[in-house]
Amino acid sequence: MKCKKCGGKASVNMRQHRMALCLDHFIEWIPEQTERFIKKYNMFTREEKVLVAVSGGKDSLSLWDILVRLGYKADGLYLGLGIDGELRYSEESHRLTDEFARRNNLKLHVVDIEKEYGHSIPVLSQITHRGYGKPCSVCGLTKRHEMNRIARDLGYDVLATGHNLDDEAAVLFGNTLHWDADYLLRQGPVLPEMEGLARKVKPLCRFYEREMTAYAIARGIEYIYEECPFAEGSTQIFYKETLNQLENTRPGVKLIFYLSFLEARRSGELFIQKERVQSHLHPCENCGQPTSAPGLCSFCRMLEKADTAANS
Amino acid sequence: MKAGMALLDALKKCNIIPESVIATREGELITEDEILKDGEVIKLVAVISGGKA
Repeated sequence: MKCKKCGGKASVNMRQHRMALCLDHFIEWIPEQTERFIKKYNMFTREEKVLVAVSGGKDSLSLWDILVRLGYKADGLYLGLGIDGELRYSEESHRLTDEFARRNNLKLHVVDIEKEYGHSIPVLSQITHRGYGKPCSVCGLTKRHEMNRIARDLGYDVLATGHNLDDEAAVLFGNTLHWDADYLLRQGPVLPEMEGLARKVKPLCRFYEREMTAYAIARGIEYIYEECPFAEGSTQIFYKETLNQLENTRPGVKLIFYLSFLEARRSGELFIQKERVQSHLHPCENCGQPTSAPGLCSFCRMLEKADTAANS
Repeated sequence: MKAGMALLDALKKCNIIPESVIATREGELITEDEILKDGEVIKLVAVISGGKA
Protein backbone atom coordinates (compact mmCIF):
# COMPACT_ATOMS: atom_id res chain seq x y z
CA MET A 1 0.00 0.00 0.00
CA LYS A 2 1.32 3.44 -0.92
CA CYS A 3 1.09 6.83 0.75
CA LYS A 4 -1.48 8.98 -1.01
CA LYS A 5 0.69 12.06 -0.61
CA CYS A 6 4.20 10.91 -1.55
CA GLY A 7 3.83 7.43 -3.00
CA GLY A 8 6.16 6.00 -0.34
CA LYS A 9 5.41 2.94 1.77
CA ALA A 10 2.19 3.48 3.76
CA SER A 11 2.09 2.97 7.53
CA VAL A 12 -1.59 3.63 8.24
CA ASN A 13 -4.57 2.77 6.07
CA MET A 14 -7.83 4.64 6.69
CA ARG A 15 -10.46 2.78 4.74
CA GLN A 16 -13.20 5.29 5.63
CA HIS A 17 -11.23 7.97 3.75
CA ARG A 18 -9.89 5.60 1.08
CA MET A 19 -6.50 6.90 2.03
CA ALA A 20 -3.25 5.40 3.27
CA LEU A 21 -0.38 7.55 4.53
CA CYS A 22 3.28 7.04 5.34
CA LEU A 23 4.43 7.75 8.87
CA ASP A 24 5.61 11.32 8.23
CA HIS A 25 2.48 12.34 6.35
CA PHE A 26 0.22 10.67 8.92
CA ILE A 27 1.93 12.59 11.76
CA GLU A 28 1.35 15.80 9.79
CA TRP A 29 -2.21 14.96 8.72
CA ILE A 30 -3.59 14.42 12.25
CA PRO A 31 -2.82 17.96 13.55
CA GLU A 32 -3.92 19.49 10.21
CA GLN A 33 -7.29 17.80 10.53
CA THR A 34 -7.56 18.67 14.23
CA GLU A 35 -7.01 22.32 13.36
CA ARG A 36 -9.73 22.03 10.74
CA PHE A 37 -12.21 20.61 13.28
CA ILE A 38 -11.30 23.23 15.91
CA LYS A 39 -12.13 25.96 13.38
CA LYS A 40 -15.15 24.24 11.82
CA TYR A 41 -16.91 23.84 15.17
CA ASN A 42 -15.61 27.14 16.64
CA MET A 43 -14.03 25.34 19.55
CA PHE A 44 -11.45 27.92 20.66
CA THR A 45 -8.87 30.39 19.40
CA ARG A 46 -5.11 30.68 19.90
CA GLU A 47 -5.71 33.51 22.37
CA GLU A 48 -7.81 31.34 24.68
CA LYS A 49 -6.48 29.21 27.54
CA VAL A 50 -7.26 25.52 27.13
CA LEU A 51 -7.32 22.96 29.92
CA VAL A 52 -6.86 19.42 28.59
CA ALA A 53 -8.30 16.63 30.74
CA VAL A 54 -5.53 14.00 30.68
CA SER A 55 -5.96 10.48 31.96
CA GLY A 56 -2.68 8.92 30.84
CA GLY A 57 -4.50 7.19 27.99
CA LYS A 58 -3.66 7.40 24.27
CA ASP A 59 -6.40 9.86 23.34
CA SER A 60 -5.91 12.54 25.97
CA LEU A 61 -2.10 12.49 25.79
CA SER A 62 -2.26 12.62 21.99
CA LEU A 63 -4.71 15.52 22.17
CA TRP A 64 -2.34 17.43 24.44
CA ASP A 65 0.55 16.65 22.09
CA ILE A 66 -1.42 17.84 19.03
CA LEU A 67 -2.63 21.08 20.63
CA VAL A 68 0.88 21.98 21.74
CA ARG A 69 2.27 21.14 18.29
CA LEU A 70 -0.37 23.44 16.81
CA GLY A 71 0.72 26.25 19.11
CA TYR A 72 -2.30 26.43 21.41
CA LYS A 73 -1.96 27.46 25.05
CA ALA A 74 -2.82 24.11 26.58
CA ASP A 75 -2.23 22.97 30.16
CA GLY A 76 -3.19 19.56 31.55
CA LEU A 77 -5.44 18.39 34.34
CA TYR A 78 -5.01 14.94 35.86
CA LEU A 79 -7.58 13.62 38.33
CA GLY A 80 -6.31 10.98 40.75
CA LEU A 81 -9.23 8.58 41.06
CA GLY A 82 -7.66 6.09 43.47
CA ILE A 83 -8.34 3.08 41.23
CA ASP A 84 -5.45 0.86 42.14
CA GLY A 85 -5.56 -2.78 43.22
CA GLU A 86 -3.12 -5.16 41.56
CA LEU A 87 -2.77 -3.11 38.38
CA ARG A 88 -1.92 0.13 40.25
CA TYR A 89 -4.02 1.71 37.50
CA SER A 90 -4.24 5.27 38.86
CA GLU A 91 -0.65 5.26 40.07
CA GLU A 92 0.64 4.16 36.67
CA SER A 93 -1.57 6.53 34.66
CA HIS A 94 -0.44 9.41 36.91
CA ARG A 95 3.20 8.46 36.38
CA LEU A 96 2.81 8.38 32.59
CA THR A 97 0.95 11.70 32.53
CA ASP A 98 3.55 13.31 34.75
CA GLU A 99 6.32 11.93 32.60
CA PHE A 100 4.69 13.28 29.42
CA ALA A 101 4.28 16.75 30.96
CA ARG A 102 7.86 16.80 32.23
CA ARG A 103 9.37 15.61 28.97
CA ASN A 104 7.49 18.25 26.99
CA ASN A 105 7.89 20.97 29.60
CA LEU A 106 4.13 21.40 30.04
CA LYS A 107 2.07 22.57 33.00
CA LEU A 108 0.05 19.82 34.69
CA HIS A 109 -2.51 20.35 37.46
CA VAL A 110 -3.09 17.31 39.62
CA VAL A 111 -6.15 16.83 41.84
CA ASP A 112 -6.40 13.77 44.03
CA ILE A 113 -10.05 12.94 44.72
CA GLU A 114 -9.30 11.16 48.01
CA LYS A 115 -7.25 14.08 49.32
CA GLU A 116 -9.91 16.53 48.16
CA TYR A 117 -13.02 14.70 49.40
CA GLY A 118 -11.79 12.06 51.83
CA HIS A 119 -12.62 9.01 49.70
CA SER A 120 -11.31 7.41 46.50
CA ILE A 121 -13.74 6.70 43.64
CA PRO A 122 -14.21 2.97 44.48
CA VAL A 123 -14.86 3.83 48.16
CA LEU A 124 -17.27 6.64 47.27
CA SER A 125 -19.16 4.21 45.08
CA GLN A 126 -19.26 1.57 47.79
CA ILE A 127 -20.52 3.80 50.58
CA THR A 128 -23.06 5.66 48.48
CA HIS A 129 -24.39 2.47 46.81
CA ARG A 130 -24.42 4.19 43.41
CA GLY A 131 -23.85 2.33 40.16
CA TYR A 132 -24.97 -1.27 40.73
CA GLY A 133 -21.70 -2.44 42.26
CA LYS A 134 -19.47 -0.65 39.71
CA PRO A 135 -17.88 2.76 40.36
CA CYS A 136 -18.31 3.98 36.76
CA SER A 137 -21.28 6.28 37.39
CA VAL A 138 -19.61 7.82 40.47
CA CYS A 139 -16.41 8.17 38.44
CA GLY A 140 -18.20 9.93 35.56
CA LEU A 141 -20.12 12.24 37.88
CA THR A 142 -17.00 13.14 39.85
CA LYS A 143 -14.85 13.72 36.77
CA ARG A 144 -17.44 15.99 35.14
CA HIS A 145 -17.88 17.97 38.37
CA GLU A 146 -14.17 18.33 39.07
CA MET A 147 -13.14 19.13 35.50
CA ASN A 148 -15.71 21.91 35.41
CA ARG A 149 -14.81 23.22 38.87
CA ILE A 150 -11.10 23.35 38.15
CA ALA A 151 -11.44 24.85 34.66
CA ARG A 152 -13.54 27.66 36.12
CA ASP A 153 -11.55 28.15 39.33
CA LEU A 154 -8.27 28.42 37.44
CA GLY A 155 -9.67 30.77 34.80
CA TYR A 156 -9.46 28.53 31.71
CA ASP A 157 -11.62 29.50 28.74
CA VAL A 158 -12.30 25.98 27.63
CA LEU A 159 -12.01 22.38 28.77
CA ALA A 160 -10.86 19.88 26.12
CA THR A 161 -11.34 16.12 26.37
CA GLY A 162 -9.88 13.33 24.23
CA HIS A 163 -13.15 11.77 23.05
CA ASN A 164 -12.60 10.15 19.65
CA LEU A 165 -15.18 9.17 17.03
CA ASP A 166 -15.59 5.66 18.43
CA ASP A 167 -16.40 7.12 21.86
CA GLU A 168 -18.93 9.48 20.31
CA ALA A 169 -20.46 6.84 18.03
CA ALA A 170 -20.83 4.41 20.95
CA VAL A 171 -22.62 7.02 23.06
CA LEU A 172 -24.79 7.96 20.09
CA PHE A 173 -25.58 4.30 19.46
CA GLY A 174 -26.68 3.82 23.08
CA ASN A 175 -28.78 6.98 23.11
CA THR A 176 -30.37 6.02 19.79
CA LEU A 177 -31.26 2.55 21.05
CA HIS A 178 -33.14 4.28 23.86
CA TRP A 179 -34.29 7.24 21.73
CA ASP A 180 -33.15 9.46 24.52
CA ALA A 181 -33.89 12.84 22.96
CA ASP A 182 -32.50 14.83 25.88
CA TYR A 183 -29.10 13.17 25.71
CA LEU A 184 -29.11 13.23 21.90
CA LEU A 185 -29.65 16.97 21.86
CA ARG A 186 -26.74 17.48 24.23
CA GLN A 187 -24.21 15.44 22.25
CA GLY A 188 -21.81 17.32 20.00
CA PRO A 189 -18.23 18.47 19.46
CA VAL A 190 -18.88 21.57 21.59
CA LEU A 191 -20.94 22.07 24.72
CA PRO A 192 -21.24 25.85 24.94
CA GLU A 193 -20.40 27.75 28.07
CA MET A 194 -23.39 28.40 30.32
CA GLU A 195 -23.85 30.02 33.69
CA GLY A 196 -21.71 27.89 36.01
CA LEU A 197 -20.47 25.57 33.26
CA ALA A 198 -17.22 25.87 31.34
CA ARG A 199 -17.23 25.36 27.56
CA LYS A 200 -16.36 21.75 26.74
CA VAL A 201 -14.85 20.66 23.44
CA LYS A 202 -13.82 17.39 21.78
CA PRO A 203 -11.22 18.19 19.09
CA LEU A 204 -10.62 14.49 18.27
CA CYS A 205 -14.28 13.65 17.76
CA ARG A 206 -13.84 12.88 14.05
CA PHE A 207 -10.84 10.55 14.35
CA TYR A 208 -11.28 6.81 14.67
CA GLU A 209 -9.88 5.26 17.83
CA ARG A 210 -7.59 3.24 15.58
CA GLU A 211 -6.08 6.43 14.17
CA MET A 212 -5.47 7.80 17.65
CA THR A 213 -3.71 4.59 18.65
CA ALA A 214 -1.56 4.82 15.53
CA TYR A 215 -0.79 8.47 16.30
CA ALA A 216 0.29 7.71 19.88
CA ILE A 217 2.57 4.91 18.65
CA ALA A 218 3.93 7.00 15.78
CA ARG A 219 4.75 9.89 18.12
CA GLY A 220 6.32 7.59 20.71
CA ILE A 221 3.80 8.62 23.36
CA GLU A 222 3.93 6.25 26.32
CA TYR A 223 0.36 5.74 27.47
CA ILE A 224 -1.43 3.41 29.82
CA TYR A 225 -2.27 0.39 27.72
CA GLU A 226 -4.17 -1.53 30.38
CA GLU A 227 -7.87 -0.89 30.52
CA CYS A 228 -9.42 0.54 33.69
CA PRO A 229 -10.24 -2.66 35.64
CA PHE A 230 -13.84 -1.52 36.03
CA ALA A 231 -14.38 -0.93 32.28
CA GLU A 232 -14.19 -4.64 31.50
CA GLY A 233 -17.50 -5.86 30.11
CA SER A 234 -18.89 -2.31 29.92
CA THR A 235 -21.77 -1.44 27.62
CA GLN A 236 -19.66 1.21 25.91
CA ILE A 237 -17.02 -1.34 24.93
CA PHE A 238 -19.72 -3.71 23.69
CA TYR A 239 -21.17 -0.93 21.50
CA LYS A 240 -17.71 -0.12 20.14
CA GLU A 241 -17.11 -3.76 19.21
CA THR A 242 -20.51 -3.94 17.56
CA LEU A 243 -19.84 -0.79 15.54
CA ASN A 244 -16.44 -2.14 14.50
CA GLN A 245 -18.13 -5.24 13.11
CA LEU A 246 -20.31 -2.98 10.97
CA GLU A 247 -17.28 -0.92 9.98
CA ASN A 248 -15.45 -4.02 8.91
CA THR A 249 -18.00 -4.80 6.23
CA ARG A 250 -19.05 -1.22 5.52
CA PRO A 251 -15.97 1.03 5.82
CA GLY A 252 -16.97 4.52 6.87
CA VAL A 253 -20.24 3.57 8.54
CA LYS A 254 -19.15 4.88 11.97
CA LEU A 255 -18.14 8.22 10.49
CA ILE A 256 -21.39 8.52 8.52
CA PHE A 257 -23.45 7.56 11.58
CA TYR A 258 -21.88 10.35 13.64
CA LEU A 259 -21.66 13.06 10.97
CA SER A 260 -25.20 12.45 9.72
CA PHE A 261 -26.43 12.75 13.29
CA LEU A 262 -24.60 16.07 13.75
CA GLU A 263 -26.10 17.36 10.51
CA ALA A 264 -29.62 16.17 11.41
CA ARG A 265 -29.32 17.81 14.80
CA ARG A 266 -27.97 21.04 13.34
CA SER A 267 -30.64 21.31 10.68
CA GLY A 268 -33.44 20.39 13.08
CA GLU A 269 -34.58 17.60 10.73
CA LEU A 270 -34.91 14.97 13.40
CA PHE A 271 -35.53 16.81 16.60
CA ILE A 272 -37.37 19.88 17.59
CA GLN A 273 -34.72 21.82 19.43
CA LYS A 274 -36.27 22.60 22.74
CA GLU A 275 -35.55 26.02 24.14
CA ARG A 276 -32.51 25.23 26.20
CA VAL A 277 -33.43 27.81 28.77
CA GLN A 278 -31.77 27.48 32.07
CA SER A 279 -34.83 28.50 34.05
CA HIS A 280 -35.05 25.02 35.57
CA LEU A 281 -31.37 25.13 36.55
CA HIS A 282 -30.25 26.85 39.70
CA PRO A 283 -26.96 26.96 41.59
CA CYS A 284 -26.28 24.10 43.99
CA GLU A 285 -26.57 25.30 47.60
CA ASN A 286 -23.11 23.94 48.38
CA CYS A 287 -20.79 24.23 45.35
CA GLY A 288 -22.72 26.69 43.17
CA GLN A 289 -22.58 24.57 39.98
CA PRO A 290 -25.86 24.42 38.03
CA THR A 291 -28.31 21.68 38.94
CA SER A 292 -31.90 20.81 38.14
CA ALA A 293 -32.44 19.07 41.48
CA PRO A 294 -33.74 21.17 44.36
CA GLY A 295 -31.06 22.07 46.93
CA LEU A 296 -27.83 20.18 46.29
CA CYS A 297 -26.45 18.93 42.95
CA SER A 298 -25.95 15.18 42.39
CA PHE A 299 -22.24 15.41 43.22
CA CYS A 300 -22.78 17.20 46.56
CA ARG A 301 -25.67 14.87 47.44
CA MET A 302 -23.35 11.94 46.81
CA LEU A 303 -20.69 13.48 49.07
CA GLU A 304 -23.30 14.16 51.77
CA LYS A 305 -24.38 10.54 51.60
CA ALA A 306 -20.75 9.39 51.76
CA ASP A 307 -20.14 11.54 54.89
CA THR A 308 -23.27 10.21 56.59
CA ALA A 309 -22.31 6.63 55.77
CA ALA A 310 -18.70 7.13 56.88
CA ASN A 311 -19.74 8.68 60.19
CA SER A 312 -22.42 6.15 61.07
CA MET B 1 0.60 -18.39 10.44
CA LYS B 2 2.11 -19.32 7.13
CA ALA B 3 4.83 -17.17 5.61
CA GLY B 4 3.63 -15.35 2.50
CA MET B 5 0.21 -14.69 3.93
CA ALA B 6 -1.11 -11.11 4.06
CA LEU B 7 -1.66 -9.65 7.53
CA LEU B 8 -5.35 -9.12 6.72
CA ASP B 9 -5.83 -12.83 5.99
CA ALA B 10 -3.94 -13.78 9.14
CA LEU B 11 -6.22 -11.53 11.21
CA LYS B 12 -9.31 -13.05 9.60
CA LYS B 13 -7.98 -16.53 10.33
CA CYS B 14 -7.67 -15.57 14.02
CA ASN B 15 -11.16 -14.01 14.02
CA ILE B 16 -9.70 -10.59 14.79
CA ILE B 17 -11.55 -7.61 13.33
CA PRO B 18 -8.89 -5.49 11.60
CA GLU B 19 -10.64 -2.33 12.82
CA SER B 20 -9.94 -3.30 16.43
CA VAL B 21 -6.13 -3.49 16.19
CA ILE B 22 -3.03 -1.70 14.97
CA ALA B 23 -0.19 -3.93 13.86
CA THR B 24 3.49 -3.23 14.32
CA ARG B 25 6.63 -5.01 13.16
CA GLU B 26 9.77 -4.17 15.15
CA GLY B 27 7.98 -1.07 16.46
CA GLU B 28 6.98 0.18 12.97
CA LEU B 29 3.33 0.58 12.00
CA ILE B 30 2.31 -1.73 9.15
CA THR B 31 -0.76 -1.87 6.92
CA GLU B 32 -2.96 -4.94 6.48
CA ASP B 33 -1.66 -5.82 3.01
CA GLU B 34 1.79 -6.49 4.48
CA ILE B 35 3.07 -9.99 3.70
CA LEU B 36 4.15 -11.99 6.73
CA LYS B 37 7.64 -13.43 6.71
CA ASP B 38 8.87 -16.63 8.22
CA GLY B 39 9.74 -16.39 11.92
CA GLU B 40 8.91 -12.72 12.41
CA VAL B 41 6.87 -11.31 15.30
CA ILE B 42 3.93 -9.03 14.60
CA LYS B 43 2.62 -7.11 17.60
CA LEU B 44 -1.08 -6.30 17.65
CA VAL B 45 -2.13 -3.29 19.74
CA ALA B 46 -5.79 -3.30 20.80
CA VAL B 47 -7.37 0.07 20.08
CA ILE B 48 -10.60 -0.03 22.09
CA SER B 49 -10.78 1.62 25.47
CA GLY B 50 -13.72 2.62 27.60
CA GLY B 51 -14.50 4.83 30.53
CA LYS B 52 -14.43 8.46 29.43
CA ALA B 53 -16.68 10.80 31.40
